[in-house]
Amino acid sequence: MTLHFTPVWFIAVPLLLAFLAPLWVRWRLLMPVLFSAQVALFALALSWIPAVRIAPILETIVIAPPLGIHLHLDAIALLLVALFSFAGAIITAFIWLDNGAAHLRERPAFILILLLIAGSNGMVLTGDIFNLYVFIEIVGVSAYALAAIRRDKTALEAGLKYLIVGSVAAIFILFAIVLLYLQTGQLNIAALAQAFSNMPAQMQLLIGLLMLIGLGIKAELFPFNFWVPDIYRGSDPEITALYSGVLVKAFLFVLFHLTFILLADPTVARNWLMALGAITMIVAELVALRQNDLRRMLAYSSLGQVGLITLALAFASEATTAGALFHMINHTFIKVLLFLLAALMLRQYASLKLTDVHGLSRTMPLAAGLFVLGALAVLGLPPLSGFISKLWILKGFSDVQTFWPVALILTAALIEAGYYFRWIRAFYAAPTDAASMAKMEGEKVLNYAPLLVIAGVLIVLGVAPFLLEDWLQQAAQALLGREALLNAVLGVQP
Amino acid sequence: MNLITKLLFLGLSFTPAATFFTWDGAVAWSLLNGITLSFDLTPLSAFFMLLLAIGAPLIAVPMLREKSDESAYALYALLLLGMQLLLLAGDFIGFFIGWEMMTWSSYLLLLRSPRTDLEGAQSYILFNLVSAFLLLAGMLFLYSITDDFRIQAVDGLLTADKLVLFVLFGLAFLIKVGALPLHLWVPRSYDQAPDLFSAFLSALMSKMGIYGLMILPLLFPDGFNEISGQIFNGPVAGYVLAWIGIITATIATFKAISQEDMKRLLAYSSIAQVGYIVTALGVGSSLAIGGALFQALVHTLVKLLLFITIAGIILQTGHRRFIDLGQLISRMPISFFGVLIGIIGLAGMPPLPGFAAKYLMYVGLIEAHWLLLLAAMILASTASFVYCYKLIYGPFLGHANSPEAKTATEAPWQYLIPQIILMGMLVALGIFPGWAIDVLIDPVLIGLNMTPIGTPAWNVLATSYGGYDGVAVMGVFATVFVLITVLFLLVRGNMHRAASPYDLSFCGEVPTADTPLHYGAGMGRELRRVPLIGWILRHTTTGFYAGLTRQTQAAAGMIGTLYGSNPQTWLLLAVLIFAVTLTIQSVTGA
Repeated sequence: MTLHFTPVWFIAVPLLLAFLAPLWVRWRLLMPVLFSAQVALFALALSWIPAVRIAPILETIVIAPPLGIHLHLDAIALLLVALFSFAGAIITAFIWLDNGAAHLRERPAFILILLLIAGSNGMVLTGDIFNLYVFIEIVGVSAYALAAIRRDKTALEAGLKYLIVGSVAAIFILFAIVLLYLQTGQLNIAALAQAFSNMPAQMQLLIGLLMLIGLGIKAELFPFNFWVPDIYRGSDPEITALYSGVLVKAFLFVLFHLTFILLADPTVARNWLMALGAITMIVAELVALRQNDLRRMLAYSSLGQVGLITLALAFASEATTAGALFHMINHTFIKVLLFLLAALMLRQYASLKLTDVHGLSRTMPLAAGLFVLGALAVLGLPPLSGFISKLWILKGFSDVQTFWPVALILTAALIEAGYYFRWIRAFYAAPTDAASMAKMEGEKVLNYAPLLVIAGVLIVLGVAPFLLEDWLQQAAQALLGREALLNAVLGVQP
Repeated sequence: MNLITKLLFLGLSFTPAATFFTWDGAVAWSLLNGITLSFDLTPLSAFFMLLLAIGAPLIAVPMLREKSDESAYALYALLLLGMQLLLLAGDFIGFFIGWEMMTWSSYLLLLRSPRTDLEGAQSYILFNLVSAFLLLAGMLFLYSITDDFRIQAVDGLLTADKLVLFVLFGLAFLIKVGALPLHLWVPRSYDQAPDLFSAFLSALMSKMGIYGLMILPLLFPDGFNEISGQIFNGPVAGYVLAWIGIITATIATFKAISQEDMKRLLAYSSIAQVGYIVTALGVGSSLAIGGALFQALVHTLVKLLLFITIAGIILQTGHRRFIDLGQLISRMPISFFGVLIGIIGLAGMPPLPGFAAKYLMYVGLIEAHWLLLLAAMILASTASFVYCYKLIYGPFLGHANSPEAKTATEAPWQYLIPQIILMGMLVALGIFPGWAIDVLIDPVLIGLNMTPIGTPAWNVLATSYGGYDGVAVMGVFATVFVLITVLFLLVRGNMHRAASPYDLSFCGEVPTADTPLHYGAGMGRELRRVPLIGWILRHTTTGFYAGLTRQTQAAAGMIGTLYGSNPQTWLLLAVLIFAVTLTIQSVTGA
């Protein structure tokens, strides 16, 4: 019997493994299963590349669209699914090898992480808007629970706050979907896209605004991202890495996927979204200047990068889009690296305040070195991959002689340098408390193995970005190619 | 193991030399579709590569004395790699990659000094990143017009476009050379860096800014003339650049005189010397560019020599301030000669090649008839004698002012070898200025499509405004030096020696141990009473940049209050924004 691979596997495999959790607990296989599931999904995604390169793959479930539910695996979806499973594999490998954080290696965390990955994959793959809502809820619920999984005061508070704000966002999205259904009687995204322009302008605006606010909260855009620092600070850094690396990227994709497909002319939303992106970036970078807690600083830095990606994606030119997708990938890698480093530092230091981590490079030289690498990459300094993606974006803006985003991006990078280098300098400064240094244990290279993999990827992609170039360009075309997608789903219209 | 690491490091420090001697043919690396990096050695970049090839091993040798430090070695190798990339780059992307690698690796090396404070580190990285981002903006602007990142002549630019390019690139490189008022980071970082690394910063990295300024004319085939019209028979842009250089040189010279610390003095002196080069580049004639290249060469050698020697003194005594040193001439004779040769080269006095460099630049200014600039340059150059004197007097002459200075011994051999090599190079260049013109400078000028200066013989420096014979001048000086030394040694036995520095009285008062008797104490303080100079010395840019930082922080704090921790506020805000936007849109009738 030959196995038939379909895109459903990206959602079904994690779900199935999650339901079989009692089995893995009994056989003491929780972590191996979690890790190998991600690796298998990643390998599966890579095996799809040749097929997707030729044409996007449509997986219908029961009835053909527009009536039935379908999954749509094109270059961009494949890119993101691969990214999610890679980031998931790195994070689970880290949790597995790490000797702290026992609560993350138990059954609840196992199930929730798998649900989160399954939901994110579903959000990226689905071609049905109600299905999308279901996946958003799956992701949301697992994310709220993961925030609180440590079960101490700060974690529970973070989880509760996340629950409140996330649910309200979901309500906004649900309203928009309900309105869409009332107006068109359709739930298939492609069919909705065709009917969208026939709706009254007021209704379009209302739906657009509801969507924007709902997804803006989820995708951490200013002024809807006030919740982010508290939740990133309260959760475990390993979980935060998942939020910043996987969750936000999925929501950003949904936001732009819907924008580009529903609007026949994406320039309508361009100025709005670009402005949102620019403000998000500048505000977050500025606020980060004053942060004295490493995890809060990383949270704001993450917001700043999300702003940059939004700014570049919203411009909707092929070069900026491809660059922004590359930056999305880089940002996932970098933030996973930095948050996992924060997790390692938390094992040694009671708090990660700027004044407490002076001289960290003496006891944790590898961590300090990797932090420097991550910081250089996030600032976009060569020869790391962050440089290439920023250059790609900037080049895309220069192509059409739009210089204000270039100036803003460079200014933001400068402000970002202002705080990242403050932390680096603290790591390499003389320790304030030499006595407590002495009793710290050394670093275990095994803990760092997943992080070293990321560091290697950042360097390789920085020196040889052409490895991903074709894929990224196809992904950008897929994201921007409204007509192609409509034709693929609904068949060529007479 | 230790030894192998060190040998490996020493080998790595010779990579620029290896590149210089073995480079043949261009290399290309395709980064992305439409972005191909090309690397090749042009005559201009070969000149700067030679400076790097000389300097890198000479700084690596004394670094070997300390305990083996793998990460410092790795960073040093990365720094050298970045600088080579930057010099080899035939397009701006490669240039930028090299430029940034140089920036961050040097920053990390700077952090390895225990003296680096937050202000020093932050100003170093932020100023250099501003410089880098201006460069990036400039190259993106160029790309938006020409669809090309290569460093080559661009035709058909509008005047406004040229001006934008000129300002963006010019500012980027002027920050790197530490032109006023963008120099804040220079004294701080040269002062706080590890002692040997200061030599690298001053001698080699500041030259990369000069290299940048020198590739700028390549972009504009018809010179700077079209950017802004003409003034005094020259382009306005060049004239402005020349004035920026000379103002930098003058003010930095006076700043240098008033310093109490050897490394800070050298830092300001470095700013001043590079200022001369900027002036000469602004003149832009073949003689002036030749002078600029010569000055770059001499300044590299001199600053390597001085910083390595000073590092040796600091190593042996643990003191950096003039008032803590003194009388080291008998304990550190080779270092004494190092500083002596260094300051003669620095001051631009014959018989050393500093004179040849200054001479060429003066002649260039005379040729351009920019006499006011010439006068200002001579003023700055003369004033620099004072700090040169301070540099030799403070540590070596007078009385020893600290216990360490009384017992110090000569610097270790790892420090002396580079000193001796550099002294030899400077003396040889002094004897054969024509060799430098013929072999090093003329190929560059030909590469830049300029008339070579030419020389009748290797020992002669010849221009159409006269020249001199290096052998003869050196011969005279050497004879006089030998005569005076012999005389001094003959009569030394009869000279009176004071038993204690306090064995004297002045104005009827007998000094106590608290009285600063050292010549260096308070020297340069009197400058503050000179009207204009005093005003300049009392005013610094520190306040402006500190204010800028404070304002940014305050703005950050203000915006930060938005990020409260009450979920109700977050939601209220989201709903409010929803309602307000909807209302506005409905009212305006979208």
